[in-house]
Amino acid sequence: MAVTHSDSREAIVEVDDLKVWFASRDGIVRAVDGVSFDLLRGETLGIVGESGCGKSVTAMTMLRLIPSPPSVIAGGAIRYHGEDLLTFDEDRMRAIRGNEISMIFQDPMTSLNPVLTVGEQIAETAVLHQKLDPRAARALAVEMLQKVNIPEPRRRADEYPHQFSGGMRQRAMIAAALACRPKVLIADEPTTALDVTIQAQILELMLNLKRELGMSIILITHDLGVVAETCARVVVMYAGRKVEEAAAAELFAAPLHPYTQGLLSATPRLETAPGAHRRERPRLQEIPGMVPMLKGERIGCSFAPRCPKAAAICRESAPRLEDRGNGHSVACFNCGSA
Amino acid sequence: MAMTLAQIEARVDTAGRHPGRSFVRRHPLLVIGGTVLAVMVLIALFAPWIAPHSPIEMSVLKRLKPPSETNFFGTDAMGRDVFSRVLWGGRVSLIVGITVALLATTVGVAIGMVAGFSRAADAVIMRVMDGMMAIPGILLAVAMMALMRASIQTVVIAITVPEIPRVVRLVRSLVLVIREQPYIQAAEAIGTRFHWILLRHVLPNALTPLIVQGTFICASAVLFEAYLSFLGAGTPPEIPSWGNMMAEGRAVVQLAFNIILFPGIFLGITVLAINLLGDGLRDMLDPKIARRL
Repeated sequence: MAVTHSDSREAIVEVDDLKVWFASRDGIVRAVDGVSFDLLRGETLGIVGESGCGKSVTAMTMLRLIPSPPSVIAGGAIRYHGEDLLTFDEDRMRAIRGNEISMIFQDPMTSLNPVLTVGEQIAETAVLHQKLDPRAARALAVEMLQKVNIPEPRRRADEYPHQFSGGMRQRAMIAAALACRPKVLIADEPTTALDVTIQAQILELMLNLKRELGMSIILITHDLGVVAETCARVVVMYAGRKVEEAAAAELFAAPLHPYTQGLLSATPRLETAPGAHRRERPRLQEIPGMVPMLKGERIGCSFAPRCPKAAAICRESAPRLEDRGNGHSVACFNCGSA
Repeated sequence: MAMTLAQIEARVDTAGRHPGRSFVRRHPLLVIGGTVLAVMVLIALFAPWIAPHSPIEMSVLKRLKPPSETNFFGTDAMGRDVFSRVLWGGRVSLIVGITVALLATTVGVAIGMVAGFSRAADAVIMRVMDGMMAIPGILLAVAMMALMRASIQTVVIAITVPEIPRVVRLVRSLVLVIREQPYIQAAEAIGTRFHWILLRHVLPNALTPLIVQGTFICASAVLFEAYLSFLGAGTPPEIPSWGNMMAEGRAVVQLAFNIILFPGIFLGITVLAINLLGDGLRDMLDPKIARRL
């Protein structure tokens, strides 16, 4: 189900009613249960949600990196330039990975191979996809290290990952992911393992490179601050489903879904009460309870057990995603009808 | 006195690269083990030219002589020159040790990788390996000698077979850990082929423990060949080996201790050198440990 956008740019990736299930010992886990969204050319799309809500599984499925078994793609499509990636064979998929769609991971400390130099690992992508000879690939690796602002790239290319700091390793990961100038970069919590000042640098770097290389970014995070700084549009996921989607500014100004409202009120803000004393500031609101187990068939809205507005209907049937205009859509019975 | 920034940088730079500390000082074990082993290999290789006497020529008149100017290590019960025999004997020990180490690790790596990556193959392979581990090495060797002609090839096979399951177990457990590492997933995410992931990402990360295991196998194969020869189930008696020399010297140990002593010393030094080399390689190959040394 594609949501209409005021923006007329074409979608480069369309995820359509994607369902990814896992076979576990005590039943089927519906990790992703009917998620749809579009990624427009040159756009930064944020996917937010708590741990275990299916963000990473969605991302990994886009590159078909989830081993099967135990995973089963139970339905849906992921269209890249109109072609369904889920129908590709392994060879075609390999030609996509790193070349057309790239991914960077959360933990830069372990995402680089400790026995290969950083330069070799960046060059590897280029050797794989562009069939560069080792000399040209090395030159490209040095150039990429320079692009991600690593000082002395020529010397650094010959160093091993343990000689890099966390922030530098994430830069090196970005360099490796972008060596072939992919059209889409999937960043799975790229700044979660880094400290705040480095986070800001890495995000800025990603956005600059996005502009320079003309790519689109899917930014997966649970940090709403990161989303606010970087994303044009946001998809909010809860328990394997999309519960709300809107332009970032609109989502922060007028969140509709109680879950989004909960997430926002659980985020500390400095500007809440300018000049106010500590005790006059409102207490941070938490969302009670935990993300439900995703086993078996779910009846009703997944968020109902934690929802302050839950009514009888919420426990009986699952709300459908409704368009509220302006590209803002929400799946909730209690947000006022369109 | 305060240092200028340039001075500090220069100092940090030299500290990082250890220009004052030579390779020998950074890797003493590797150098000592490697040198001793290299000397042993050279001795074995050039035995025909170094040895002052024939290793198999017998002489009734020169039986059980103590070490002297003509026979440095004395003579054995058949009047053969112990020094020449020790030099020649090194050939058997080193050939057996190195061949067994290479064979067992190569076969073990191949089988272990399959077991580590395929769940179905894993169940079958590991049960077969458990079965192989249950066979006592000495018994297998003695049985093989009884069935086949005693030769160095038979000795190599007899020692290799019981070593394979050990390598397979090691490789399998390493692969199980390595394949879950994020950098393997990262390699998949840039479109690396499966066999390339195995060769370039999994194998190098498993190499350090494998090399250590390989040298250990080499050392134990040298010893095992000696046991077998000592028991008379190893190298045929017409080829001198440290093991069968000690076996022959056993009967006359109270008369001529030198017959057992000298091959024993060479055996001990060789095994020690191989083990030192293994430890040294482990330290050098692990970039993290290497920096600290």
